[in-house]
Formats: sequence, C-alpha cells, structure tokens
Amino acid sequence: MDQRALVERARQGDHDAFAALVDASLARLDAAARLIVRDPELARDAVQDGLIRAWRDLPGLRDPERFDAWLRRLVVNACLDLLRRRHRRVREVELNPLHIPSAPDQSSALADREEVDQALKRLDPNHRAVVALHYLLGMPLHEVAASLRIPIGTAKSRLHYALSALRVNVDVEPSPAPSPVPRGTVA
Amino acid sequence: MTSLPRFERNLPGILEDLYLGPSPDYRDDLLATARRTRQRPAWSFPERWIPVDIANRLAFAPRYPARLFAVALLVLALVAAGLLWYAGTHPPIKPALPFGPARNGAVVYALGGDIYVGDSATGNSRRIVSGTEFDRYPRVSPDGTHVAFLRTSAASTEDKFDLVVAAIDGSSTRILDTAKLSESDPISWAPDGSYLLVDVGSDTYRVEIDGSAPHRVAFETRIQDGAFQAPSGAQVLYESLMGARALGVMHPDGSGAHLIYTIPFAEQADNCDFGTVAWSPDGSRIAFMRRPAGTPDQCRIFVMNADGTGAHQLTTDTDVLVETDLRWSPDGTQIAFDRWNNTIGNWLVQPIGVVSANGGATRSLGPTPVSDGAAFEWSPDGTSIISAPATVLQWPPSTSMPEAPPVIIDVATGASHEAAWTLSSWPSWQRVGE
Repeated sequence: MDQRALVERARQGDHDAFAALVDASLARLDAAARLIVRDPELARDAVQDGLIRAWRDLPGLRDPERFDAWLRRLVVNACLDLLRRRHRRVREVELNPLHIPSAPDQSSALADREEVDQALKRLDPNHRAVVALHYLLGMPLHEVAASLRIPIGTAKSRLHYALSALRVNVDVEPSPAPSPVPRGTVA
Repeated sequence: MTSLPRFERNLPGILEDLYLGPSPDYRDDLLATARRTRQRPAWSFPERWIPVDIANRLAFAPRYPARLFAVALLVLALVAAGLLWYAGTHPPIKPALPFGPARNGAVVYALGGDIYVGDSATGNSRRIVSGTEFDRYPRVSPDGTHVAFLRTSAASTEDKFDLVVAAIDGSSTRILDTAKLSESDPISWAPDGSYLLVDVGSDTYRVEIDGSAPHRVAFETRIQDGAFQAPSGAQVLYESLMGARALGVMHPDGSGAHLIYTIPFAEQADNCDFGTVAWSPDGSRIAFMRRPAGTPDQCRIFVMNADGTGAHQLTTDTDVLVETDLRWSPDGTQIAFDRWNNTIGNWLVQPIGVVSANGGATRSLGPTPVSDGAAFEWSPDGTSIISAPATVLQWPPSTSMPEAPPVIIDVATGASHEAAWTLSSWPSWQRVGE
C-alpha cells in the first residue's frame, strides 16, 4: 500500500496504518533526534512527543503528500522544545555516550566520524537541527527553513557555519578557517 | 575537486554511520501510547474546512448588529460608573522603581487558563483576565502597572502562543504581534514597562506594548527575565547562540554588542551553561549557571563582575549538586535557587537554597518541593518567597498536578504557610512604589 493510502487510513483512526508509517520513518527520525539532542533518552522522548502529536493531529493534515515533511518538522521541533525546556530547568547534566556502530572500518574513516561527532557536539542545537534536516533527513533548504520557522537566509547561514565548523575538523588537507560569524550582531 | 564538495558529498554517509541504527526498541511503547491517545476530530481544525486566509479574516471580521451595540453601550455605561466608584474608593497605585526593593503588591498568577491576582496577606484573590482562550505565564512589569502573558486557543496544546499585555487590573488587553511564541521563549520587561524583549526562535525582538510593529534587535541571541542592567537599563545581558558559548552585553536596540564571558569548550555542559543568568539589582554583578571545571556531574551558580571579570563559584557546598533557577533578592544581598543533590547516586530535590551574594554555605528554606523543584519568586520587599510546585508549569498542562496552592516562606525564619488560592503558573509578584 502506498504512503498516501496509509496516511488516509491513519487519518481515519487506523492504528495499523499508523504503525506502518512509524516503521517506515522511526529509525531515521530517532537518528536525527540523537544528532540534535545528543542524548538517547532525550531523543526517545522527543521522537515519542513528535509521533504522538502526529497521531493526535493527523485528522488536521490537509495534504497527505506532505506527511513526511510534517512529521519531520514535528519531531525536530520537539527536539528543540525539549532542549530549550531543559536548558532553562536543569535536571541531569550527564550526557550518555552516543551510539557508534562497531562494524569494522578503516581507522581513518572511523577517526573522521568521531571528529565529526565531536564537532557536532560543539555546535548549537539550532545548527545541528539544520544539519540533521538537510543531510540526514534529506530535506531541501527551503523546507528546512519552513520547518524551523526561520528565513531561508538564516537556514543557509546556519548550514554554512555548521559545515565550516565540521570541515575544519575532518579535512586532511589544509582548508580556510570558517568564515567569521557575527555574535549578537545588530540586525 | 575541492574539499568542500567532497566533504558535503560524504557527510550524509558519515551521519548515517554515526547515528542511524536499527529500529529503536521503544517502537511498541510508542504505538501503545498512540492507541491510548484519541485523535482530534477533523472538524476541530478550522483550516480543514475553511481556507486559512479566510478563517483568519473571519476571526477578525467585524459585525455591527444593533442589539449588540445597545448591549455594548449599556455595558460601557456600567463600566464607566464602576470606574468612577472604584476611583473614588481606591487611591491610584504608585508605580514602583524598576530595580531594588519595593512594596509588596498582588501576586499575579494563572489558573485554569485565566489570570488572577491574589493577596498573600489576606488570602483574597480575584480573576482579572478571563475568556474562552487559555492564558498562562503572567509576568508583571517592573513598575507594577502592567502584566504580560501568553495566550492560546482553548483547545490547542500546541507550543505556540500570542503575547498579550494588559493593565494590572486586567483592562486594556492587547495582543502583541510576535508571530507566535513558544512557552519556553524568554520574555524580559524593559525597566520603564514600555516594551518587552522577547526571543522568537533564536532572535531577539523588541515588542512595544502600544501595539506598534515589533522589530528584531539581534540575532542568534537569547535573553532572559532580568536582562536589563540597573540603574538605567542601558545595557542588556544576552547569551550568544553562535560560535563560542558566551555571555555578552548590548544596548537595548542591539547596538554595541560584545562578549564579556566565554566558557572554554572543554568545560561546556549543554544542559547547564547559562540556564539562568541575571543581573544583580544594582547592576554591578551577574549571576549565572555553568559546570565547574572538572566536575562532569555538577551545575553550579557562578557570580562575576558586570564586565565579565572575577567569575567564581558562589556556594561552597561540597556535595554533588545541580543549582538552577537562581533569583537575586531585591536588595541584592542574597540569591535563592532550586537545587538537586546527587551525593548518594540519585538526584534528590532539596528545599529552596538561599546563600549570601558574597558566597558561602547554602541555607535551606521552606519545605522540600516536588521532584520537579519549585517555581518561586522573591516578594518585592525581600522578606518572603512565594513557591509553587514546578509541575504546574508543564505544557500541555500536567494531568496529575495541573494546579497547587503556593507556599509563602518567611526568609528570615523559614516559617511557611499555604496561600488560600491555587495556581497553575510561575507566580509573579507585583512591585508597588513607596
């Protein structure tokens, strides 16, 4: 059954159809959430928040073709909301280690991945969200901007900054330093 | 080929290697939760049956039936008469100075989607803003004359709110255009109460209470309640959200921005750094949260000078602690905060802690709150703290504890008593002029 039909059925309250939709996207949404929030338990909470909200509000989705983009937006916003809430009211300060696959690989490639992971940790969650949406979930930048409620220019500048920061950490060959980015600059 | 396209080409694969695994083990729990969750009926989404632009226009479409006019005129006449009576029996409240101690006014709070004022001394309370909408998170202006709060439609559980401002008696309610705020977007009143700084996404906007169009003053910044520096409010404290993890100051129009304090990368803690930051009431110091170097489990309060120098940990307690939600006393001599202790391996909530602003050991104040901690505020005269279980802050509202009576704690003696009313928001205590 195609996705449009599954969405239509889920919108009518069909739990099996919703389960099929969840199965098709859960692993990748969980990966995106872990990239953004940097904590498996928090990621689990964010993905559950997003998916339960999706189930509850499915009858309001006007265009079934937009289901994927809508679902990604719900989960990523759940990640950012959760981080903002935690940022204001701290409960736990220890971050759990990330899942890193143990499959054999060349040591240099593994080192690259670990360096990317460390570089991602240094990024602000808003920048990680842009990276997750664009590179892990494959959303075009205009949809990234719409999902995060930011102008397309801001999405581009965040991606540029994130890529510059990541590239510096994994380039074998010398590369230019990241472009200076204004902090608290006058709008 | 340059390194940039190669890196970009490889990045999706690297990210998949790093983060993409088998289907998570909580899939069944999630689907079970969905089975217990009722879907919203389609008719409750107006945009499903009316085009959004028309729906929005309809929401504001004026109607002028004669009967309504007559009723409105009658109501206006009654209100005018009431106002004349009220003015004759109640002398006007003198606005407070924006910083330092003030006389205690009413406690403003939300309950069940309406805004109330309560008297901590008499136990009396009354509703000042009501209606079909759901109002929450009221914050009184520093001069005590206005209250800002968040509003959403009654059926909505979305984390998107209008910012509304009203006179302290609930009159002159006005929705301010912010393109919707999150429940966790910080709001900070200007000292003179004429505008607010709010964070929308990761940008800071200035929103005038006269309803004129808001404008962005800074981007990739975060401000918090208490961002304005005494005595003039000429400088605003902000957290930079781009590049280094740092605090900076800027003028309220966004000009003159510069960083004053940076946390080195090796000492950063995502869920701690700058969770709360606030100027002291005299503007000479800044208190903030950060992880002490070499203590991965902890999150503590630090204090530094206004120019970012002299940063040092405030409390000398040697336990493994998380200290958060710091609040300066109005006279600037003490700091109160929420705290959790993990010395025995589990995080255990502690009573509100109070410590001298010059540092030292923490004194516990009042009863131990629920595990979520306390949502508390100093009284303007600095003699009391009003504290509510933080569980009532949840959005969508908690099903187990949507409201609770606040506790009034005498700071000098630690004695406490429950207020006669319940609330479902962080309390905000009105400041009144001498």
